[in-house]
Amino acid sequence: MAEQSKVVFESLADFSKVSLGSVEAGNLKFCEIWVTQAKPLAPVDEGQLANSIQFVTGTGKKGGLNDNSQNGRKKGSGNSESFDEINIPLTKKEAAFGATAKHAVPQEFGTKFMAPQPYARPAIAITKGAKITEIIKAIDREVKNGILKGNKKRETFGL
Amino acid sequence: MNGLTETKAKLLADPSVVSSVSTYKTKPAIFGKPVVPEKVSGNAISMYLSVPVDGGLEYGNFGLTVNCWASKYDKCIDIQEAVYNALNRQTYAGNTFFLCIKSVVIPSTTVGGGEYNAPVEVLVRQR
Repeated sequence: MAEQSKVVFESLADFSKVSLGSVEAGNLKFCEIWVTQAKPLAPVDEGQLANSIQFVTGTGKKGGLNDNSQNGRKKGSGNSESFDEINIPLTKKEAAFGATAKHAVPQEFGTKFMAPQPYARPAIAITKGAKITEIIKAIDREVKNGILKGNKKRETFGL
Repeated sequence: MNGLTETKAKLLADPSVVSSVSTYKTKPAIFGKPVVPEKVSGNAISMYLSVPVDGGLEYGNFGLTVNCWASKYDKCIDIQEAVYNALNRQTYAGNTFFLCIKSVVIPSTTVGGGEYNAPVEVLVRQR
């Protein structure tokens, strides 16, 4: 029987970092799933609303925004309009998601004489419901990885 | 049976909600659909399903939004408060239970039409 390696943990991992890492991982996964659910649900005319759906985490990770200004197009010209990024102060344990197109709110909640076409809240419901296991897995993975980052020493070397 | 009928019936039975909205064809302007008829100029209430329905549950679980429309901010808050009090933690017909969340007021400049909207998110549980 082959000799196995023996690894001894000499100190525990920094649990504040483990905790923060798992929250970040959970936030990021939630936002990623929400964006992928919300974009197809958003009503499309010229695609401005869907393009403006985006997220930002407290650690600065961003995603979702389809900003055509990268293609050298001018801001505010038809369907090539570029959109503002979500710009709100966040702590490292927070994340924000939403749409920055001008008609994002009227489409979500409707107006008195125009029916709403909700996209944000249904996407939240799907993310919290059917997709919750993916978020839990992401958090779980980060916790395990974080714990394994403690100071460890290999005492016996396997063949 | 999607919570809309029950919610509308509950609101129509509440005197403070009824007195806070205008009338349309001699009836209170409380509509069990997403839009308000264009002839309604005063305060009104509309509602719609805002969350997907999960058919895998053993009970009915519906997410509704009740929009409270008014041309003045204060009035809009009053309607929202009346709707919240009429529904939150209340039962209907012995098999329906309501839970509510008051959302922030959406300004008239955002939604257009010069009307404020104070939505109430309603969770309807039904056996």
